[in-house]
Amino acid sequence: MDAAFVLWLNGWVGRSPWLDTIAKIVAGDYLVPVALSLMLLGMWFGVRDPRRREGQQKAVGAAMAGMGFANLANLLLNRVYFRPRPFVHLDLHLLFYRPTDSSFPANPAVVGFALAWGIWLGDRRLGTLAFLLALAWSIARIYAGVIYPTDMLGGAAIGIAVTSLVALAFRLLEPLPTVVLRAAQRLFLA
Amino acid sequence: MSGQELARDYLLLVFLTSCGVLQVAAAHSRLRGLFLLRSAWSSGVLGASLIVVAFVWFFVPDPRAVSDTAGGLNGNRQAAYFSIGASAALLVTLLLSSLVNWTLGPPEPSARGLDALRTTTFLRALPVGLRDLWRRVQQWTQHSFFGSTAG
Repeated sequence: MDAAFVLWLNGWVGRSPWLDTIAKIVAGDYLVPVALSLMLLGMWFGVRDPRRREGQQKAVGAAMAGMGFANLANLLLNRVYFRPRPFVHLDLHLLFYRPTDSSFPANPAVVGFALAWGIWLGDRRLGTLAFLLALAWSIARIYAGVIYPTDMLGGAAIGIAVTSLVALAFRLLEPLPTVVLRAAQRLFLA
Repeated sequence: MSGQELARDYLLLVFLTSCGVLQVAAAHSRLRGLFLLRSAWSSGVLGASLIVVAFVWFFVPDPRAVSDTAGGLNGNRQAAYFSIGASAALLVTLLLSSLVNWTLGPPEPSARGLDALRTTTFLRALPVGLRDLWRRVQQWTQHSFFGSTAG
């Protein structure tokens, strides 16, 4: 099933040069992480209502810390479990360089969904857009032939779970996050 | 493309897009003290243009699919460069907007946090904020180490 989906989606490669170019850019290491990080910057400064702003700024902190810890979890998991990339066993049209690390969990899904979940906790509308970006990043990687769908699902689960735990930890650490925000407010940075 | 060139371009992408996002966010929140142009509308348009131009410049000639083992940026370096680029964009925005809007008055006593930047600039507000923060640190140390003297 996993391999069949990769073969079907990757079978579209080469039919439309435009689609391939867009997939290359979206699947790449730079577009989506930069876009998601810029959303966090926008969330920090772009809220008019001061009461809503504080909640969003805490969500920005949770998203950033969540991404860091999710990456750490990914790194640890890669040490104990290695899954070969789809292009090793399947006959695919590669649109991407050949990554050498484990296919599971998919790094873009871990990072993308960790950030998207943090954004969603602060702002539902922006969060939905962030989820679409994270999803597009992972699907573009499947299209490019470098991950399986279950790698994406596993990565998304890890990213969301770790960011949820970090958000919970932020609540348990109160009033520390609020004190840090108040200090930043006194310097007109929050 | 060498790894150094990619790192330089990535830093520039982050710097320009972060400047753009700060202008769009300032325009949306009506933080006049952060505008780089006179009105919210023109600052917002400037911000959006910066974002679009920077992304097109970075991606259109070359999708930049380079493995981190062949000169690409791994996740840690990306995170570090993003922090540097975004911090530089914030610093430049705070300084430039303070110069552009130098005619704005001092901060209103009741305004707190970013809301103060609706009527004043960062450089005008900062000394007030630092004095306030210093006073609170003194009060806290006094209270924590020498006990409360109130009575």
